[in-house]
Amino acid sequence: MNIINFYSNVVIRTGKVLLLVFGVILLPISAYAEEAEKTKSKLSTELEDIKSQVLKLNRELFVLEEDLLFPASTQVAVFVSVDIGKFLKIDSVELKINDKNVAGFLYTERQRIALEKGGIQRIYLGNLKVGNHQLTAIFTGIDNEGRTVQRAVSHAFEKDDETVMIELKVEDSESTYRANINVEEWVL
Amino acid sequence: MQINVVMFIKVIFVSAIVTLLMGTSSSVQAFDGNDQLEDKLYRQALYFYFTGNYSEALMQVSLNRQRFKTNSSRSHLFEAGLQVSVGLHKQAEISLNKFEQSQALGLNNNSTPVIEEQGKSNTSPEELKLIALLQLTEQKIQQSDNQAAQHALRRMTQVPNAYREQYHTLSQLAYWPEQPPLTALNNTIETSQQSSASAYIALNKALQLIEQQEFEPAKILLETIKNTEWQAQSVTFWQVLFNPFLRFFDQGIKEETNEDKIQQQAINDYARLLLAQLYIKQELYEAAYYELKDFPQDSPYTESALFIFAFSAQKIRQFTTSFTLLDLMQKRYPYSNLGWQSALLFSAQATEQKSLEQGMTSYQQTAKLYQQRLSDLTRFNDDFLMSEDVLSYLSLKPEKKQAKNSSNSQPLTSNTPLTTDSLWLKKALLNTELQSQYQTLIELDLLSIHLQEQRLKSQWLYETLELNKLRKANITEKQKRRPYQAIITELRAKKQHIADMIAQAENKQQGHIFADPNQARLLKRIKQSKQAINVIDGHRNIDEYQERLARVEGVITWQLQGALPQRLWQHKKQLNVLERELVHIEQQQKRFDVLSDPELGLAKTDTHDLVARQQKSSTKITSLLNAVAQVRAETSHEIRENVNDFVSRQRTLLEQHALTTRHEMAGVLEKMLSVDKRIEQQLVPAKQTQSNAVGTL
Repeated sequence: MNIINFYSNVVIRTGKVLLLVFGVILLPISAYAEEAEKTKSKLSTELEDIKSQVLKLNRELFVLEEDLLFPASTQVAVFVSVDIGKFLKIDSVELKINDKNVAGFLYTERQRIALEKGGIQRIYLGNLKVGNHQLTAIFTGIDNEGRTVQRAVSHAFEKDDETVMIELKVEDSESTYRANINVEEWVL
Repeated sequence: MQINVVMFIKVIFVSAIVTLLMGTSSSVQAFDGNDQLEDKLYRQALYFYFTGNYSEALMQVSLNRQRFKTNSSRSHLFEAGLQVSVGLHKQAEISLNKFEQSQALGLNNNSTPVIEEQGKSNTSPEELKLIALLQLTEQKIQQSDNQAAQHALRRMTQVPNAYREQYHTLSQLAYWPEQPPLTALNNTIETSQQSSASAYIALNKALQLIEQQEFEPAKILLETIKNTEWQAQSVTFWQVLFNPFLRFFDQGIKEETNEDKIQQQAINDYARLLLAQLYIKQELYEAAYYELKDFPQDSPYTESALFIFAFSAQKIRQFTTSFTLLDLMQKRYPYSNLGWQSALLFSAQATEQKSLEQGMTSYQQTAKLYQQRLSDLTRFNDDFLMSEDVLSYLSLKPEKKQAKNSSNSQPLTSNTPLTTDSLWLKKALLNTELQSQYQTLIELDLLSIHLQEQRLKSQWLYETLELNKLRKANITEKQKRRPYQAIITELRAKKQHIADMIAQAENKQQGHIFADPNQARLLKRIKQSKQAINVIDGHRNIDEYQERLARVEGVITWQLQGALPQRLWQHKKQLNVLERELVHIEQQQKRFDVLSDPELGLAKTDTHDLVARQQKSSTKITSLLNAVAQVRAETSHEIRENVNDFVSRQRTLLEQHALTTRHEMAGVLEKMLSVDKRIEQQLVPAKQTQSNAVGTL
């Protein structure tokens, strides 16, 4: 064996492996590559298929749960969104319907940022009888000067046979330099 | 340390999608109701995405489509991105095809607004598609599925400047060791000399040139890479703005992070290593030695650099240095090929530098080392093949525990770092295919845990349905015993009576209609008194009686007339209550009729539908659990085969080293023998001279 070439080859191969550190993958093509590719592809397809079916199953169970526990005729959903979030970094929200506490949420930084980036969070899903109801939300957060502040909103709404979806929008107001809570009922 | 290309692409891709959505959100006033709703539904999915829950985001997208019939091109694109994120590559391709179709049909052109990128290029749907394909390619390469990666690359027809380097690097990897066709690059590549992405292209190119024995161009390339101040890959506005938590926005867009510095150092180090390797190939040992003389200790390439440095030091007769370094190599990397080769070089040098005896001792120690490693290897292989669960070799309990405890765990993806206490497995895991197989196994276990959770949920739904059925049966039984018709008739009669009273009172404006029992009794007595007066009329003077009776009647009538408006209002209110009660009880009766009527059977259908869906889900869970178990068994088998191959290769290598050692030992023995003979020959004449001298005496 030519010892120098032997060492050199090892180094090159080591180099290839080390290139993985950069997220670069270099694999030697082996003689049995075709057979291995087939098995790999089969397993990969099977895994994908399972994942896809699990997703479908999750969706079906989710829908079944909703249909069973929250039928449209009684369903009420409340969402939270943040527009900009410069004047109020929300820490928590409390939700009351007809003066009864129904939901509360304490935000992590990641969840808060998810809202500030445009996400909408469903904070409450419940059942209500047909008729008039009162929703009250109290947001606690930090204002742009670092003080702990609270913003509250009250909203009267009517529940009919259709699902009611209400969005609580924390919106910055450039004119008042403070955040306001606006309420929007979604039109389904 | 690691440049996470997948993360990079994923971030750009979804950021771009977000941009679309944010753009639509900001111009929400221009939308009609459907667009607004669609926007809100997508932002729900976004919330899940930004909180890192890709599976939930994907489910939300498909739920939006199923429940609210939202079906825009951006939904397909967003879905494709999420599918790639969770490893559903085939489905992602289908979603991309749907996106292409809707683009070709010109659908939703208005709903995919073009957003200004702070003075940079616009993010068009085509660009987003390209980003998705690049991400797909990257993942395929990570799974060592180069054919699929090549297929994804072929789907790219045109690559804008911003993505050229990424496309080029991925092409190099997908087609290695062949030259990538780069069909999507119409003109000559204008690589930026400053970008780290172009450094990877150049490094791969240099490696290819070295393998093709084209040393001069490789040398020029590597010298350039080595001496260039590489900057981190340019970070787009979108990436910084939307990148969740990799770089926080308050750190500033252009702030160089520590990771960037490490990457810059790693690129330069690797170029130096390849350059030294190139010199070795050209037998320019001195150049290699000086190239690596000040190589950093904390580089990821220290092992290779140390070995080449020791080897070149030996070649240029820097014996003290090489001796120390070869000894260090053996101690620091006892399971590495380079460590094993160092032992051989060390023994060779000991033989040459010190003495044949010392060399022989060293070779014996080296041979012992190889034998030890071979025994270790055999033991590891036996244990590994015998182990029931190949995952037991990895230390990944925290994530599995987390998955068990958290209902929000991500069942579809796993980025668990593969750590193990087994040194052999650690070495085997340098193979990306094995890494990928292990990740598959972890994913399968997560899926299995998730499915067990879903089974519990399904069971709970079943119990809820059963309880509902029981509750309904109880209600039906109770309602059957309630005489609805009699109650309704009674209520109707009551209602009619009150309505008549009200009508009468309103027509005649007479308060006595609403007289209370006491007043009614007084009125009756007045009537009786009047009759008695009439009887005694003509026998006695009745004027006084009549006057007194008229006075009493006047007082009562005055009282009744005064209370008339109030009592009229009260009766009207009572009538309203009765009417409502009647409507309610009629509705209740109708509902009950519907619920209990076996002919109508709506309740049954509804419950039956829910029960059927629950049963279907339950069956599905069982079949999926079986499928997971089957794929797990197959993957475990693949892992065992892969590890077995690794062990064979290592065994061959060690046996080769052992054989080389034995040859070298034989050589040393021969040398020792020849030295002995020489000494003997030197001693024999001396002895003869001595004996001759004795004889003479």
